[in-house]
Amino acid sequence: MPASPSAKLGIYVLALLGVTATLELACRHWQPLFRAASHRSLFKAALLERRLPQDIVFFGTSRTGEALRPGALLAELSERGAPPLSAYNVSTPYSSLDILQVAAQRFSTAPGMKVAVIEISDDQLHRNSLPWATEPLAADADIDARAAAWLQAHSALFAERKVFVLNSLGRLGVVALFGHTLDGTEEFGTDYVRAILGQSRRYEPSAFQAVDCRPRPDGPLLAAAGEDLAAERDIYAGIARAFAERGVEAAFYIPPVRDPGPEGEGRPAQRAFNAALQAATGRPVWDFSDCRLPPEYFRDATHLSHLGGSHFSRMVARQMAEDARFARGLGLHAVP
Amino acid sequence: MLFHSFAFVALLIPTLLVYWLAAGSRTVRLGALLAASMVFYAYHHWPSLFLLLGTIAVNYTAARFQERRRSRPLLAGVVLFDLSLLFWFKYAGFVSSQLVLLAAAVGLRLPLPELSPWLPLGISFFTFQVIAYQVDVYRGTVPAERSLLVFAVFKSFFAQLIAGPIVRAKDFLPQLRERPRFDPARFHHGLFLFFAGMALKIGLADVLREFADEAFRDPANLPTTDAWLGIYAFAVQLFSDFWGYSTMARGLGELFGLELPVNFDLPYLSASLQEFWRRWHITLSAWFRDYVYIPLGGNRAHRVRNAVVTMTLAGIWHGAGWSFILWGAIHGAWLALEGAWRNWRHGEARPGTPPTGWGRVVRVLAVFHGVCLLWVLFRAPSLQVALVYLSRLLLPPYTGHGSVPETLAIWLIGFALLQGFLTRALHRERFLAWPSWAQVGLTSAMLIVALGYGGQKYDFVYFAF
Repeated sequence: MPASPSAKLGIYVLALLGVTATLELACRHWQPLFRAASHRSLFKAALLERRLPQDIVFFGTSRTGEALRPGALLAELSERGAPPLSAYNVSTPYSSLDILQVAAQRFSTAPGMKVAVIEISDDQLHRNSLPWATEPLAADADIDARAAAWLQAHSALFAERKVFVLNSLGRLGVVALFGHTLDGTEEFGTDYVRAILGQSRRYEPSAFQAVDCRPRPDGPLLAAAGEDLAAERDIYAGIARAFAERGVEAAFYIPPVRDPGPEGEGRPAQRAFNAALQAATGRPVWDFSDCRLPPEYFRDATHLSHLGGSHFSRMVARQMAEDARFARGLGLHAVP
Repeated sequence: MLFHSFAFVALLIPTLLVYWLAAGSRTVRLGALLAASMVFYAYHHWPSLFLLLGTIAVNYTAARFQERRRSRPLLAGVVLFDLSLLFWFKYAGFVSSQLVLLAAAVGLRLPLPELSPWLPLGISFFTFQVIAYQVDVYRGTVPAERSLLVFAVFKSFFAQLIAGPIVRAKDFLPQLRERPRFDPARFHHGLFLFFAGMALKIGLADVLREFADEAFRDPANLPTTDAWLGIYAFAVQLFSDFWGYSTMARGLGELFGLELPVNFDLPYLSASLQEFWRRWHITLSAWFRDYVYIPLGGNRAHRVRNAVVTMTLAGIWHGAGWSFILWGAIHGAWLALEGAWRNWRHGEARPGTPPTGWGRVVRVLAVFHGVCLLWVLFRAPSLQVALVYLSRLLLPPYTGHGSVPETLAIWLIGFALLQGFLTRALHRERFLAWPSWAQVGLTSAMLIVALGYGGQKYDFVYFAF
């Protein structure tokens, strides 16, 4: 017998309430997973957590995402006599200094980490509030803001609602099912599909052009001038200290750009900052901003291409191998 | 107050309870609706409430006098009163700025004061609704409403006060007068319409808005592909924004047992501009047809002039600016050309058979792209920006960007594929015939989309008109 209109209305309303209650329970049960999927930085961090321990971890913006390829770097280290190592790129596009600080704090205590490579660039120095942080309620907040704040505090479904955005749903699937196949350099959907299918692109050294590049050395004389960004320098120094306390060798680096110009990114203020940071932390700052690399090594003005990133990763690996502290930390026996 | 806000839900639930618990008492039932409408309107800008109450009083009184003694001067007077308010709040600033510019061009300095930018919400909608009422009373097609309470609710029902649909007195006043009977099927469908409209607004319109806004931020440096994607995004944003609002308005009406007219019927699948205007903002198109185009002579004489004048006025109705005027005038000229072409092909008496198959597909694509090009005038902040944007769409250098943002691509393709399904789902009989699991599944999917994309609350686009 067909249900009456009243019964149908009742079923409809009760079923919608049931769906809401089920989603609320699911969000409470899997809250860390759902939260990890809701923002790319949290997502990358969650992927790294699933792949711990890692010997080498890269921190930075999308420039690091393109520039430091774990596969190429590990291949170069292996050719230089390193034992089997693992590496992960936890950088995210539009990362800010605040995001870097959170990520570094979170993983400075990760077991097994030997080396941390941390990007310095205009983008990475940029301060911004954490995108997933909840704004405090203003004193003159209207009824909508107050209701939203109450729900944020009392409902996991409301608090984790960003998981239902298209990008987040994709991330949720990846973090839940395929986290173990990724190295952190994936940015586009096609990168994830390729990595999940085990078809990562790798370049033999013969594919690279005969270019070489060394970081610019900045002398201690400049350090005294590096007070323009004192607050940012202190944050970087705090990050280096946190790693040092756990016995992790940290290095800062500035990725190359397509058109360095006469002064490159290493303009006086930046160079002074580098020198001051180096003086404050005792950690190396590898400034590659003056490097002149072929245009086809870049996909735009500041981001390396896959080919360029693979070659550049080998240059960074060589830099590590030639620094006694890193070589020792990574167990390198023969430094050519 | 936005429909998709906690404040609105807090207003809606007690209003519904009082309305249905006191359905037997017209005074209490309509009093609750009127009070809710006043709170709804005053929430945004309380001084506007006095304007609304003033126009209710003037129009109620004028219609009562009109019924007693049919008077053309009285009709002209009250219409002039309504239009003068509209002119003052919406157009006086524009006209004054143009007069200053004109005077400056001939070397004169016109000491006109700078006028306040205060635009009462929904003034274009409720002004047109009440003008239609005055004309209908004058023509004798509807009696003047005797109850001030009924008339006030007709003029200010919150579901359609700010952005339509523009309801006609002959359809809506009888519904307000009669005692409503709680119909669970109707209430059920009303809930679905409300949720569906919310998903269209938050999950589609507000998402695409980001892409459209980005495209119009600096059109001079836009690659050709991005310019087209930007205008596609705006076309779908505008439609889903207004369709979402109208659908929520209809849903709210059904929750109160009141039928509001359908305002959209797959407009982007139209094979001619005439068909487009029969499917887009249907209640406004019908208003212009009945109260401007036909009184001007309609199809009987001066068809070209009538079409251009009507659509230019429609453009002005949308906003005070040369780009809106141009937008309307071009629509009018296009409609006139279409009419002339149809007559030449098929003769005055036979309208010709509508195209089918691939012929229809080609015409739908042509009309859609023509409408999109004209949306540039509608969206751009000024005529100069619109011309720059149009040049990036149509003129060399033709440049590409290489990749399309995934969300934009999925949303545009999803809209193109699902608009027909969703339009059908919004029909009451179809929706109610579905099994419960399908109803709940679709509604849940829509609510999840709205929840996921909810956050920054944007006004409905048509609030600005």
